[in-house]
Amino acid sequence: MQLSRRTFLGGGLAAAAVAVTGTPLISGCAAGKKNQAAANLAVKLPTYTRFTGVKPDLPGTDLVLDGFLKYPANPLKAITDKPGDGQPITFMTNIPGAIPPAADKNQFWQALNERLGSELQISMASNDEYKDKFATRVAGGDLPDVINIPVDTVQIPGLVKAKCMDLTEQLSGDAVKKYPFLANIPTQYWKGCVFNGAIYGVPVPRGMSRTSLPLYRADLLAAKGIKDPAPKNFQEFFDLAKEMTAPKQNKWAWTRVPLSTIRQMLEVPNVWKEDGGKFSSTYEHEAQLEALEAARKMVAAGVINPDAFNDKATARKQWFNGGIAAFDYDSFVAWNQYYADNTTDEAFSVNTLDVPGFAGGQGAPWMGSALNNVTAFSKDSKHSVETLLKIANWMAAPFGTEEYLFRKYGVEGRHYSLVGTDPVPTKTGVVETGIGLQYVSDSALALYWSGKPDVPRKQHAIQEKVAPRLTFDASYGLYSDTQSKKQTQLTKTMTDLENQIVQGKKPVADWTAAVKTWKSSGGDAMRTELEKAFTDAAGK
Amino acid sequence: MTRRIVNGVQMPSWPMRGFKGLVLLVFCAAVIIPFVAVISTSIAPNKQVTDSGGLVLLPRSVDLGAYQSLFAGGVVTQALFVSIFVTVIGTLLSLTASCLLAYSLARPGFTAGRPILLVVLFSMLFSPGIIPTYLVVKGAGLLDSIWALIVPTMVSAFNVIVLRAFFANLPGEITESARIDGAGELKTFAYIVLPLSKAVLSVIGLFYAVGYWNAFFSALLYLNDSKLWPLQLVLRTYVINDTQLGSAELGTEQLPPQSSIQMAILVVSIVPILLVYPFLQRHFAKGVLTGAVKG
Repeated sequence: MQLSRRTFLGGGLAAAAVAVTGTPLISGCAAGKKNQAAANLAVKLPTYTRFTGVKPDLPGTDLVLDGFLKYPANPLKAITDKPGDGQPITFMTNIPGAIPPAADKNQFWQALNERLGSELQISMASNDEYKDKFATRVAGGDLPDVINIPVDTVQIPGLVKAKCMDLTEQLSGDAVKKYPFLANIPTQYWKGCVFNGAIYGVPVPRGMSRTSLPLYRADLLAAKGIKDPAPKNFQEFFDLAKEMTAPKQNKWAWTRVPLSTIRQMLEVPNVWKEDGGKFSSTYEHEAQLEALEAARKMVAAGVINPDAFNDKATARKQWFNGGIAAFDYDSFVAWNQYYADNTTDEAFSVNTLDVPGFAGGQGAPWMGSALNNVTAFSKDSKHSVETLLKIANWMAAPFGTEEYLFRKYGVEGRHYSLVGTDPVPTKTGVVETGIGLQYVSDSALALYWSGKPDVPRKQHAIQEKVAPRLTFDASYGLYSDTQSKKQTQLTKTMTDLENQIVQGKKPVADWTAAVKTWKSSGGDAMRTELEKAFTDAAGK
Repeated sequence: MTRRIVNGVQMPSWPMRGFKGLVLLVFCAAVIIPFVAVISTSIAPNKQVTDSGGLVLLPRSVDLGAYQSLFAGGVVTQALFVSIFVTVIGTLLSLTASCLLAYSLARPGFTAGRPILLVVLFSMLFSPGIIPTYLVVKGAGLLDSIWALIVPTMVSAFNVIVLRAFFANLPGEITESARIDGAGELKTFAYIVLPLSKAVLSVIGLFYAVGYWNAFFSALLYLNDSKLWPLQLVLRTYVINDTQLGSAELGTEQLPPQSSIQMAILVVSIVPILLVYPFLQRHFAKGVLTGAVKG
């Protein structure tokens, strides 16, 4: 069988695995597909038991994240036993930053192994290349004990059924209480770990921390005499952008076209919307044309950095850091990152706009995607499922515990120094701790910024404000085979067109034709599959 | 005004020469300016890089912070050694294997020559694909070994064909006279053929060396231990991962801007192979043409 890299990565994984291993990944999956959604819903999800050992300064809810003004003094040692079994445990993951020093030169890694009671051998790849590595190792039948499965992996149900441990018995319902920090992950996140009527993984939760809003440089706006901006509609939002634009001084309001924000102003759905069992896609929404028209107006008015369409995220972040642009559409994680990039600039300050309605009133921001990845355990692992779950539980110890402090910041003196009770990472700390532990398992993000209590305050305030209006992706937790295979390519086509339209290179009217093509190339199939999954689940 | 004539060719008029010079200058600038920007950004002070949005043409002062932070963790240094090892040893092994194969295929009277040549050509037309290669590497026990970066790509069919063409066109009388003097095949090959093939060997060696130096995908697939990663894979991780060096959830001391680090590692990865070029340049045109015309 001749298999090019492109076709393989484009969805040939299962076929290749069949050819190579003789084991169809989707065997069993196809037979059970009919009632899969109902079976998934029948699974009793792990009982959510909120950890109360650490009291947040700004208490959250199931949606709003807990906020901390400083790191608690004398962090609680939450786990006394070493979770490992003395044997090396292998883990494969992507890492978001630079390559950390290897274990023999990395004191954080060595200290981690000591604490875990097992050597954690980590096979890493950069974000972009992880999928290549993952797919090859799946097809090569060479999986580690602990596997980071990206949520957009093709045909996850078949994959986990063929290769991963069924964790239902250990995690379903009250059984999860044996692992208190896994039980501390809210129930909704577990929905994304259920396939073939069983729990196949541990979630790495994101949700609210990934919710994106219009961030702005409060210091730059204040210099122009604008304090606490709160545009009441699109026109005011646009006017504010115009005010912050001065092309002659190499300054633009936006790092990129705020099309998502405009869509949220118009209450366009977050990926998929469900209404009475009928699904409709964000692309089909009637307000799309108006959103594109408005975005086009902003581009034409020159309030967007002219390089916005050519450069990568790095450039966008540098414009915002350097004050070349005053607004950026990004998440709470990025908000923190901006502070990390600007620790020496005392005046540097970020805040966010609320999303108004297009013609007034309130907009409907989109809830961030629930999961970063699902962590599954290989069927071929020689470790007991309990050991692997204990490791995951250790990795999910929340903010305020001693385990969290070590996991995120390392060892005091080498990896961070304490200012009051706040840990301030050193350069060594940043480099050595970036080994991808957050993808084994994680607690929900806590709103906190070392030495700047104002940051979590602002973040908590805006989260409380937008939480009741958040729009969720209705397809979360429902499996569509077409979506798993074609979503990436179809989204790219639509995004490319969107860019052409807002730049004025194609008419807005082209959108309607593109949506038709999108429907016939897979959009309608996705809808049918999602509706069926939804109905099956509802009917059980 | 009469135009100057040099070697019987009339020189262009001054305005024309000026215009040509200008065009050449523009082309040179198009090549040199990005290169200067890469070096300047890597040594520019943090503030200047941030203020200019990530690319600096003329640094206000020299700040080697990006290089310091690159080499501080030891990852880049380690990767540099791996890359040098893979390139040097890989090139030597590749040249040895390719020359032996090409020479035997070029010898007249080698009965199995044709079928073997067909097999070589076949590998040029149909590559085995990622997963079969992965399985072979795994089966050979090369996973997580530095040899996984060398062995699977040791012989390139294209290079073998070029070498074969070169060897086949060496005058038969030379090898014949060596045989009359009592030299066996290996001796003839080592003492007569190879010294006559310096040009083509330099070029093919350079092809192999650049290939090994630039390869990253094998390392991504076959090596789990990042200690064995070559420089190019480390470079890709720096360039591709858009986030800053640090974890997004943490506060930290100020690190050099991402683009400074990216440019610094670009410089580090370009310089060694750039240093090799001048030494091979004189052989380059000759070697390539030999293969091309006679092949």
